[in-house]
Amino acid sequence: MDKVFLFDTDTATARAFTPLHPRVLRNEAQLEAAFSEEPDALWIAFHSHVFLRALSCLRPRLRTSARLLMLDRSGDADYFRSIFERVVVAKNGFLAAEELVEVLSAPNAADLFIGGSVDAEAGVLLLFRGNLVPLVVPLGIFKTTPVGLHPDPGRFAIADYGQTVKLGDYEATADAILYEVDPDYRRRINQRRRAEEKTFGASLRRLRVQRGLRQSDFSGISEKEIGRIERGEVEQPRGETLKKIAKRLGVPADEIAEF
Amino acid sequence: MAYELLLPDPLRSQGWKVKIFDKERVEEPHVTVIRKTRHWRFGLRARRLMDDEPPPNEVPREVTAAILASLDTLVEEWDQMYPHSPVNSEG
Repeated sequence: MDKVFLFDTDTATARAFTPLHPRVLRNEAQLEAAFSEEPDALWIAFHSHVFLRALSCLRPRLRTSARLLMLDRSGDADYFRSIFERVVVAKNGFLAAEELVEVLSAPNAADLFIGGSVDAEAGVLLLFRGNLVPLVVPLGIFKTTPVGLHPDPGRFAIADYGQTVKLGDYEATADAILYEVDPDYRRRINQRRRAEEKTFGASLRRLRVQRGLRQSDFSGISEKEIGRIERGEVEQPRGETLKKIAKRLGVPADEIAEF
Repeated sequence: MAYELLLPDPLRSQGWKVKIFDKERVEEPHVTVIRKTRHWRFGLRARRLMDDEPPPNEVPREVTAAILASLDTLVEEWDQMYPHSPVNSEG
């Protein structure tokens, strides 16, 4: 795990983050030294105004590649973005300290979520991964279930150590979200598949089922033909057939094989 | 809401969970086994853990036994939640 610096003047709150083995910094001299020694570190701070006051005493510097997790919910990220490459302010809906610490130190932190926020008017969910990288997810990927459960963006939360995104009573796995919106995640997952599951036909079937489509739902292509493509009994489609399939699935033709 | 198979203690108190979520990767039909930051998929067709990572041998036998003991119920729940990708389907 990357080096972790924790700026805090309150020993009690810092204790929850002991499993990260952070170096606890308490004054400007220690801050200055830390920036010089570890420019790529993860920083965690608890009190926005106190931290900003300490940073403002330092000599001006270029923006570092360090990341900041601000646990003060009233913190304003803009000030800190002048110094840190990536800034996340933990507002409502973020994991509690114990689970947060586990995720930040997990080898698969990038595939877990620590929190986020909803912009219902824009129809998007902003999620922060365990490496603090943001992920914008259209709310439209969360569909009402066959038993009639509607996702409720107004009650957003992260649970199960970053593995579950909750929208009210509706629960989605981080895995399903990443698989749908992150091509790099799909590629990593697919590399681990058995050989027979890596064919174009297998990808078509996975994506078709993910979209809730039947083999008969492809206009201009027979159900029988779709079945044969999925089973690998015919060559991978090209030209107009491929275009029709891609259009019905709602993905570019060259991305079908990534699913 | 997600369907959760209630595991007996001490599995439950150790943090093990078995769930079918409202949004999953639907192919292949499976239940998701969770413990803290790790998860495994247990296939409802093949009746075994589906992935090589994390290592399947990290899942206690008691968890897979509990899944197999409730397989009919889990299949029924999956089919209800994902009727377009039922467990017993080839197309």
